[in-house]
Amino acid sequence: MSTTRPDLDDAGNARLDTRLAALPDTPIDPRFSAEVLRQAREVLAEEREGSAFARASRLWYGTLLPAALVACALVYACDAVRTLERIYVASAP
Amino acid sequence: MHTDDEALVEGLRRNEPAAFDAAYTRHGPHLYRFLHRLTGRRDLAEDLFQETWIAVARNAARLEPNTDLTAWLFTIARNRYRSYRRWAVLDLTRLAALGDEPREPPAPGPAERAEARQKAEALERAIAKLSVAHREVLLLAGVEGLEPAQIAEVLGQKPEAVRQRLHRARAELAAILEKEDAVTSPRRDAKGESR
Repeated sequence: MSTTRPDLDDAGNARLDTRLAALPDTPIDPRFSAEVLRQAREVLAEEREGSAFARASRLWYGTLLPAALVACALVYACDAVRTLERIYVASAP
Repeated sequence: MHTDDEALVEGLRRNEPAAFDAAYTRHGPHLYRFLHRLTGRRDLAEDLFQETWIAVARNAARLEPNTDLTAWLFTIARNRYRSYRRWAVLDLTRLAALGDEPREPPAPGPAERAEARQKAEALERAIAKLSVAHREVLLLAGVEGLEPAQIAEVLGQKPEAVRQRLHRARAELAAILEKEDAVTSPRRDAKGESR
């Protein structure tokens, strides 16, 4: 069935909006609302713990581990130079 | 955006429980009202409401600092409903329910506001007859009072497209209300009763 739609002016729109804004509230069941909040808080806590672990992982893999590897490489390089020096001195005529 | 919402966004980004509780208290009733009128079913509105806040809890830390909290929350709620409708196509029992979503009567008001209640009931019936696209834009603009920029963000459209959709939605609503008035008025005259 076709419907002839009225062409609303600003006043018509305003009247409609006023009626829409005056619609009665649709109350939410308080027990249901409390249960949803409880479940959402649990998820929030899981996310918080998960993000702390993620931060610790980033710190280990992003900073501490590379620093440890670089330090080991430097120690190895210094030791290698000293070893070569000893060999050179020992084999000198 | 409301400065309080800005503070809530900062708190949510840090996963603060107090900020989450405040956001739930402030925006929860509006989201539930929107979902209830959008779906027309209390049970479905409750399911979608629960899914919405679980999604909020999962994604709060990923919020951008300048996020419009109201628009973001309504976007999640609306997307949950769209997802439900998409999956309902694959579920025959849900598909049957989609086309015949029962409309619950509005909450009763005091006796002295009987006429206002009748008008509200007529408006509720008219809203229920709208297409989903028109219903959601009218609920966001007329009932929830979102700004046009916020509605554009929720619907994922340009502001001009939202204005056009809102204009068409209002026109359709007005046409339905006119038809309702035309149907109910002669009945009163025939019975000779005054209301």
